[in-house]
Parts: sequence; C-alpha cells; structure tokens
Amino acid sequence: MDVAAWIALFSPAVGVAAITLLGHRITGAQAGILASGSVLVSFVASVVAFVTLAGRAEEDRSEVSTLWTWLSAGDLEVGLEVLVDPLSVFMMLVVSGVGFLILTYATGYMRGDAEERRYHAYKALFVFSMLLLVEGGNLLLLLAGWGMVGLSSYLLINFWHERPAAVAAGKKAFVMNAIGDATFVLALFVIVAQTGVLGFAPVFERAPEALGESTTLSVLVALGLLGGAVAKSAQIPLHTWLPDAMEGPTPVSALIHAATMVTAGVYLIARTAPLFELAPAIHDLAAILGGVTIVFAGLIALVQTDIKRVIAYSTMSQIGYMFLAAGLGAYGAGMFHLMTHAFFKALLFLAAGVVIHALAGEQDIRRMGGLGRELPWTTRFFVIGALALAAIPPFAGFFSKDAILASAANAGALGWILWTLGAIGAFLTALYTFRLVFVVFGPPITDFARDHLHRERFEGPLAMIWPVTVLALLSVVGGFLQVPGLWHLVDDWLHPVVESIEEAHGWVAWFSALVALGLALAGIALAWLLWGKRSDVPDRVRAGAPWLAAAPERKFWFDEAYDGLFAWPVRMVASGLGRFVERPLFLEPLGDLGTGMRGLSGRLGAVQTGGVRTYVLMLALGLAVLTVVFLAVS
Amino acid sequence: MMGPGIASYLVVSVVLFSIGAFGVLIRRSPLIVLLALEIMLNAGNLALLAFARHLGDGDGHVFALAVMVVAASEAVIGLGLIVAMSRLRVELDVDKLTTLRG
Amino acid sequence: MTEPLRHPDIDWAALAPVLTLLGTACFVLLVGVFLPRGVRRPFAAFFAAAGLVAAGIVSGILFALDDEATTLVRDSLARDRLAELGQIFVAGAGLLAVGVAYFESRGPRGDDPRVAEDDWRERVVEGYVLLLTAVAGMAFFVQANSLITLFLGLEWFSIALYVLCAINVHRIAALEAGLKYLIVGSFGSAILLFGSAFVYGGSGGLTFGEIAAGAADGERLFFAAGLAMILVGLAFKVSAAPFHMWTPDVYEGAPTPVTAFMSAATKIAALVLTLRLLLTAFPGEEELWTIAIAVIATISLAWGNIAALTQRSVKRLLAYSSVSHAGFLLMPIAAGNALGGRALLFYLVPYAALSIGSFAVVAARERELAADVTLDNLAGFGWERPFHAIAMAVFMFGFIGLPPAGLFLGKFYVFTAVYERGWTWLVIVGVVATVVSVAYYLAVVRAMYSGSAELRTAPAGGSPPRDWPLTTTVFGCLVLAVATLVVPDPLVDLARDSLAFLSFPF
Repeated sequence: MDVAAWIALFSPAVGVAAITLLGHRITGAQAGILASGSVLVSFVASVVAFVTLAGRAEEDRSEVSTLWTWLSAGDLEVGLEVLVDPLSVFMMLVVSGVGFLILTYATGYMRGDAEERRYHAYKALFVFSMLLLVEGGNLLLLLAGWGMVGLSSYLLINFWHERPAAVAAGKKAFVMNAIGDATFVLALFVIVAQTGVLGFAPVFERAPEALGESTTLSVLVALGLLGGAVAKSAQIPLHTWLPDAMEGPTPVSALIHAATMVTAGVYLIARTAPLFELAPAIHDLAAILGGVTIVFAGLIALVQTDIKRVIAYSTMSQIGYMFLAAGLGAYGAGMFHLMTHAFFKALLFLAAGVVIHALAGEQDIRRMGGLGRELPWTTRFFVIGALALAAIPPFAGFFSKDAILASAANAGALGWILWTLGAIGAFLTALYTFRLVFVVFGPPITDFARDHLHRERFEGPLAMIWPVTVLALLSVVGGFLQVPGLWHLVDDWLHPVVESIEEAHGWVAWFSALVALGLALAGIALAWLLWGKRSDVPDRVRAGAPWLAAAPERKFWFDEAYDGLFAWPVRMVASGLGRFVERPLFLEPLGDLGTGMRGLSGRLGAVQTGGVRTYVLMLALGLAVLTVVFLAVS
Repeated sequence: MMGPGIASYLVVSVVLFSIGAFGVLIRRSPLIVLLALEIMLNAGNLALLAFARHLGDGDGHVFALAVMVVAASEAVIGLGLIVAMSRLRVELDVDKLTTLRG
Repeated sequence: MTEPLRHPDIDWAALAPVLTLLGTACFVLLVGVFLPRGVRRPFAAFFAAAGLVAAGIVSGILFALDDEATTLVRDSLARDRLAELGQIFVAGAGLLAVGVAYFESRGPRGDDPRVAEDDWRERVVEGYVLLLTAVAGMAFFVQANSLITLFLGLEWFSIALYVLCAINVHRIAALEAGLKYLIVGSFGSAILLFGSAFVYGGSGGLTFGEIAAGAADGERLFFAAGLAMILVGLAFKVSAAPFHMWTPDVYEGAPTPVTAFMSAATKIAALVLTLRLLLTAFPGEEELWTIAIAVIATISLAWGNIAALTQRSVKRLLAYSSVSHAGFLLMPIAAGNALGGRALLFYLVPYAALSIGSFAVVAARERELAADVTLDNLAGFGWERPFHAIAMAVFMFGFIGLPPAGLFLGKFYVFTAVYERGWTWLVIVGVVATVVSVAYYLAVVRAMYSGSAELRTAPAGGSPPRDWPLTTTVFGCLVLAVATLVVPDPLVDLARDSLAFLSFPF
C-alpha cells in the first residue's frame, strides 16, 4: 500500500521530469499525454491504496512510510515520509481523479498553444505538489507541498506571461498566499519548538501538554494555521487573489481554483484538527469566516459579468461552507462537500471553457446569450453543474450542503447563526448560478454570439468533451455517498482520523433540509423572473440605487482598502528607506568596501611575487612570530 | 668523560639552522639553496643527537638516521629538477623563476 | 658476544593498506616497463584504481574490526578507526584522481619544440606509480603515532608529489612549480624536524603518548618552541595562510589532475594527523594551540578569500579557495571539542568531492583549449558542455556552502562546533568570509554562462575526444557532494566512531 502511495506521489514528478528533459523531442500533444498519463497512474495507485486501506481493520488504517531519514537529532526526525490514512487517501483520490480529467481536458483546450509543453509540465508539477501536500507525513513536507502548490499555481496563473493582467494576477496570488504561508510557517516553528517533533501523530500526541488548551501558544498556533488555510482557500480577508487568478487558462481555473488547491485550506484544518481543538476560539473563527464568506462572495457573484469570475466567487462561497463545516467540527460533511464541489465546480469551469472556446475566447456574459440552442450538450452539462451547485436533489451538491447545514443545526447557538448564513447562501447560490444559466444559454441569441460562434464536432475536441461527461455523471450520482439519516460513508471512512460532530436528527434535520431546498428553489424562480424573462428590474434597481450595485461590483472595496492600507504605505516607506537610508548608509559605503577589497586583493597578489625567496621569507616570518609568542606565553 | 654540555650542542645546532635558513633566503642559485636546505636538516639531526645523548635514549639516533635517508632523496629530486631545467636552457636563478605569480 | 637482534612485533594487518598500495605500485612499475606503449595507459590506470580500491576495502575491513585503538611497532604507528577512516578518504581521493588523469594532455608538447609527444602520455606508468606512492605515504602518515613516523610519512608523500608536479619535464611552468614546491616544502620539513627535535628534548620521548606523558617534567621552553615549529610545518601542508604562498603557484604549474589530487588528499592527510597529534601529544597545551590555530584559520580565511577576488586564472582562483577552506577546516580543530572533530571529518568529504570535481572540470576545459583556463575563456562553456558546466556550478555553489552540496551541512557543523567553544567571533569571521567568497565563486558560474551568440554556434572548445574517465569522475564527485547533503547520517556516524577513542579538551 505504501508502495502505491509513493507511486502516486512520484508519478507526476516523473512526468514533469520527462517533459522537461525531452524538451523539443516531443510535441505538445505528446507532452499532454505524458502529463495526463502520469496523473492517471497516480489515480490508479490511489485507488489501489484506497482498496488496500478499506480492506483493513479500522484501527490499522494509518501508516507512515519513510523513504529515508535525512537528519535525526533526538526525537526530531526529518525525512521523506508519507502518511497514508483515510484522510490522505480521500484527498489523493479527489486530487488525482479530478486532476486527471482536467489534464485530459487541457490536452484538447491547449492544443496548438505555442508553449503547450511548458503548460503540461506545470500542470503535472501542480498535481505533484498537491499530492505532496496531502500525502506529506510530517509538517516539513506539508510545508514543502504547501510552498510548491503556491509556486506552481503562480506559474500557471501567469502562464500567458505576455499579458500584463496575467502577470499582475500571478503576483497578487503569490503575495496573498505568501502572507498565509508566513503565518503558517510561524505556527510550524512554534509547534516544532514546543513539541520537538515533526510527524503528525507525535505532534498531536504531545500538543496538549506542550501547547496547553486555549493558552496564548495554542491560540497563536491555530491562528497561524488558519492564516495559511484562509489564504490558500481564498476566504475573507485574504480572498482577493482568486478572482484575478482567472487570467490563467480555463483548465487551470478548474484545477487550481475549483477542485484542488483552494481546498488545501480545508484539508489543513481537518488534518490539524487536534491543534484547532486546543484553541476552540480559533476553531469557531474558522467557521465564522466561512459563514461570512458564503454570503459575501455570493453577493459579489450576483453582479459579476465575467463568466469565470462568477464561478470563481461561487467557489469562494462554497469553500465558505467547507470552512463552516470544518470549523464546527463536521469534518466529514466538509470533506464530502469538498469532493462533490470538486466534481460540479470542475464541471462548471470546463463547460464554461467549452463556451469560451466556442466563442473564440470571449468571457463577458453580456455578449453571450441563446447558446442553449447552439451548444445543446454543453448546456445540459452546465445545467447539471448548476443544479448540483444550487443544491437541488438528487444532484450531488444537495446532499453535501444539506449535511453541512444539518451539522450546523446541531451545534448550538453559533451553529444556528451560521446555519442562517448558510441558508441565505443557498438562496444566493441558486440565484447567481441560474442568472448565469439564463443569461448565457437562454434565448435570445446575441449578435456577438452569432458572429463568433464556431462549432467543432461535438461542440469541442473529444478530449474536452469526455472528461466533462464523466464529471457530469459524477455530479449527478456523487451525492449518494452520504445520505443524511441513512448512511454516512464519508464520515465512516474518515472516522479513524477525525471525529465528526453529530448531525441534527428528526424534525430539525427535515426543517433544515426543507428550508434550504425551498430557498434554493426560490432563488431559481427569482432568477427566472429577473433574467430568464429578460425583465428590466435589475436595470431599474441599478438606476434607482446605484450604491446597492456598486458595493458588490467593487467587491466591497477590499482591493482599494488593501491598496490604501498596506500597498501604498509600504511603497512610500520603501522608497523613503531606499533614498534616505540605503543609499547613504549601505550602497555607497559598501560600494567603497567592494572597491577596497579588490584593491587589497591586488596588493595581496603583488605579495605573491613568484619569487620563491619571498615565500620562504613569509614562512620564516610566520615561524618567528609563532615561536616568539609561544615562548613568551610559556 | 667530560665534553661540552647539551647547551653548546644546541647553540651550534641553532646557528646551523639559521645559516641554512639564511642561505635559502639570500642565495639565488637553486644548487646552493639545496645545500642550505641540507644544512637545515642536519641542524635538526644535530639537535636530535644532542638530546638523545642527553636523555640517554636511542630513539633520537633512529630518527637522525631516517632523516639522512630522507635528505638524500630530497636532494636527488632537487638535482633532477635542476638538470631538467638546464636541459630546457632555463637560467638557474630562483629569482627569475617567476612565470607563476599573482 | 652477540645478542640476537631484537625486533618489535609487527602487526602486519595494520600495515596492510599501506603495503597493498606499495605492492601495487611496485607491480605496476615493474610490469609496465615491459608492456607495449599502447596498453600502458589502460594497464597502469586499471591497476592503480584496483590498488586504491583494494586499500580502501582493507581499511574498511579494519575499520569494522577495530573497536579499540591499539598501536604497533613500539607505539610508533597507530591502529585505530581515525587512521583507517583517513586511509579510506585518501584512497578515495586517489581513485577520483585516477579518472581525472587518464587522458591528461596539454597538447603535443610543452615548451620544448623538439618533443612531439605529451609528457604525461610518455610517463603514464610512472605517473600512476607516483600517485600510488603518494597515497601510500599519506596512508602511512595518518597512522603516524610518533614524530619519526610523522616526519617519514610527510616526506614520503611530499617527495612523490614534488615529482608529480614536475612530471611534465618539458614544461617550464611544471618544473618551476616542482622546484618551488621542493624548496619551500623542504624548508617546511626542516622546520618540522627542528621542532620535533625540540619537543623530543622537552619531553624525552618521540611517540605521541610519551610526549604527552613527559610534557610536565621537561623543559617548557623547548616544548613550546618545538610545538610552534611543528604547527608551522603542518600548517604549511594544509596551505594555511601565511604558510600557503607556494599553493597558488604550485597548483597552477602542476598538471591539473595532480592539483586535483593534492588539493584534496594533502589536506585530508595533514588535517587528520594534526587532529591526532594535537589531541594525543599536546593535550596539556590546549589553550596554546587552539588559539594559535584559530588565528591561523582567521588569517587563511581573510587572505585566501581576498586574494581570490581578482584572480583570472581559474586554477589560481581555486588554489586561493583551497587556502580559504584550509581556514574553515582548521576552525573545528581550533574548537577543540568532540563536535569539532566530527565536523572536521564530515567537512573533508564534501570538500574533497567539490575540489577534485572542480579541478576535473578545469582539466576538461584545458584539454579542449590546449591553454590555461581563465575566467575569460570559460565563456560559452555552459552551452558547449552542459553537464560539466552544471556540475561546476554545483561545485561552486557547494564551495559557498549552499545546497545541493554537503558542504552546506559541513559549514553548519563547523560553525556550531566553534560556537560551542564560545568563540562567536570566529563564527562571524567564517560567515563574513563566506559572504566574500560568493563574489568569486559566482564569477566562475557567470563566466561559464556568459558569452556572445557566436559562441553558442561555434564552440571555442571545438569537439574534443570523449573523455569518459574524467566525466565519470565529475559525475562521481557530484554524486558524492550531493549525497553528503541528502544522507549525512552514515558519514556523521563514521566520524563519531572514528573519534570515540580520543578525548577532547573542550
């Protein structure tokens, strides 16, 4: 089993190495096959690991496999080790499975791009980083994976590096993530300093003693971890990078910003749950941030006009649900939603990609319309994804979202507050999702769409269509893994790693489910009234109360606030320091120092006359000095 | 049997060592430099023997014998190098052997 | 009346590594003469390598067997793990040098227009025999446990190296290097001998144990003066400043494979023995020698690094780099604690790999260009020989103390050891020296990857013959350098085992 885990981990790395080393000896298409093939190997290996693990008794389902130990000092062992347990295998399946579908799609999407090879290499690198993150058997490897995920997402976001917007977006993502990485690293330092170990199990074992419950230390550690999670998962207040990151190619958006990377934060909270449970306040904070993000991102999604940005904000909002669940301790529900979300969000992104592809790169929904007739299959897929997102039974999203809400309903007063946010979110989700559906696919067809639509066979290359089909299928049936009140496969599977809180039972559960469903249906109905029938209400509202639309359209002024609060002062301070401190204090003296060193070097060279007598003299002088000193001291 | 004390031997040996060292420092012909080096080694031998006699210990004698062998081999190598140089018509002057410098 | 000659019991097993090397040397020398010219090179190289491997294996077996330290031949030689580890190291350095030397060539002739054939090709048998002899001398030297064997071992390998430096007897530079090395080296040996005599007089003994035992009742002045002279003699071999001045000239003038070997093996042998000598013979003078060595290390770091800054010749640059690394290598001895001993033994391995590897790359370039390698004619190397250039870049980063080479950990251990001694100032000196060294190491990397576009299409080096032994060596050095970073534990354990019998003053 651990062999399977290692194969799963290294297969994409081998893919990257092969693409890099083969260089121009292979075509872009072959590079794509290599990349997706290597991820397929990962997926198969993950399945093997899963089956083996499932065949074992529950308490034996966790295993650390060490390839080699790099350094060991006392209890501190630094080595390359993977942790194979239900949680990591669950994540491996999602990452490699959905990753494989997206990489296959990308071979069609990117065909003919000048730098296709580089793209596929980056993609495989990303999957490798992500697998390292979820499989890493100690905190150091987790950090390594964390950093590499950040790096590869940066590379992918500004893949089209000739576009200034893409470069800026890449930088923004990097900086925002760096803030999270910094808090994450600080937390790790504290953990290592306090417990003296790196492996997960020993850390969790010693943490209660070393950190204490609700002490400053444990709160700081949890806060640091939360900072990392929030940045990676684009939750408030470190969320501003995600929408901009839509500058990358669409499969990138699907891979990074829907299925895998942004869920790393949720994984982190689940993985380090014992540390969060030592600081309940921070644990609650995670849930609250999630709840606020649900509503907040939902509102912004309502007014966005770029098809990918709408889906991006929807992603933030959905991850909010996962944070809410993980923060309340409903890890099973959170991970379940993570999985179903990976299915339907990847589906939505990929279907949107087909639309963008068909319209020669256009992303503005105001220029779209009436595509339902032109791209019937894409429309069906998109609608399936939309229904799953809006949590309409029997689609996957319904079950997972219901599980989260049912858990929240059983978590006391805070739970009910968050439940309310979640329910509002359900309404907003349905509203913005179906706005997208009606505007893009509903009649009438726009002039732009008519002029620019170019259809290939099957509405796109086969490599793009079949992964979408598989994802659509999964979005339909994926939810039956866990049906409230009947069976809880995900909870049971994760049980050896994390203990999830109980869901609500009886009438509370029914109430929760029915209210959420009702709100979702109401959202769809409202969307139909407003956009499906092309009503003029939205425009009238916009005209009547401009501030109402402006707030979400400007994304609640987060970017501006960050510019004013952080970027501008930092720039001013930096340029001031450069002019008044660096130049007079360092640059000029150091420049002199460098020149001085070279001068001295020249003089030492002059001592080296080449004459052997000089050398002997030096030896004799050295001897004389040393002897005299030794004699004097004695 | 009375003879000069250990101090006298040591003084002679230090003087010999210094003569040898100055020889290396001030002479320019590699042949003379080799000779001076031999003098230095023999100064060491003299000191060893003096101490050996003083201590009544045989090890110093063994050491001195070994040093003689080593000195001879060094001289052979040195002379060989000097012959090879004169074959290339290089002037035998250590101050002019300065192609390697800096 | 004659007594039968008394002779000491000899533990032949302990001498086995040295005898293996000497035996191989004699065999190669005698048989090589009778072989046709065409097969001399492969024959000599193969048996040199085989002899070195065999000696290394024998030392390794002894290492595994010897739990405790013993001595032989009336205490004048030691049989312990430190000696055996030192022997393994020098044999390894010699083995790497065999590969570098295989196709050594400086074009058809040296400075003598009458000679059509390259000297090394003519004298390949003698060359390899001398290499084996030098390694044998070093293997003997690291076993030395008395001032007699110390002096003999030192002269043994030094004389072999004098000849190796000047083996291209038709190149003036080689002869000059040989003669300079001989004169300065003999001067150093004479000082060492004179110092030995004084220590003998001051303590009444020649073996390290007797010296330590007799130090208390002897004449202090003799003892101190003798220690100073011995330190100078050893510092000379380590090329520590200000006793290093022969180093750049000799490194530049000697054939590059010989330089590669010297830069690594001489340091290994001299430092291992310095550690043993100071700890076993002068344990009472620890304040004196730790401070003296710390000062010598500081001067070496300063001088080596600063002088390297303006070098254009890559061999000279690396020579000054070796002076500065002598400083780094003396730091752990100055620390005088057990951690320092381990740090020294650890540091030596990646250092040797980097040093031999980088000189090997220089040798490769030299053979392509048939000229001395300077920073200027390295231009374009990065595209012409991607593997060599990448390896060289790794070596240069490694010298700075950056991953992916094990010197990263080596420097870390060294600094930790010195810090534990309480000498923060020395750590600061080391760090500043490291910072200065970045300038010239990166200059090499920059030089390799600079050059105009024409250089890319028309390589300066033309297309030289395949030099697989050298490339293999470079690869081996690269693997060794990286391996010490990736799996440092075995080496640290070996170092710990080797030093178990010694007691450290601090």
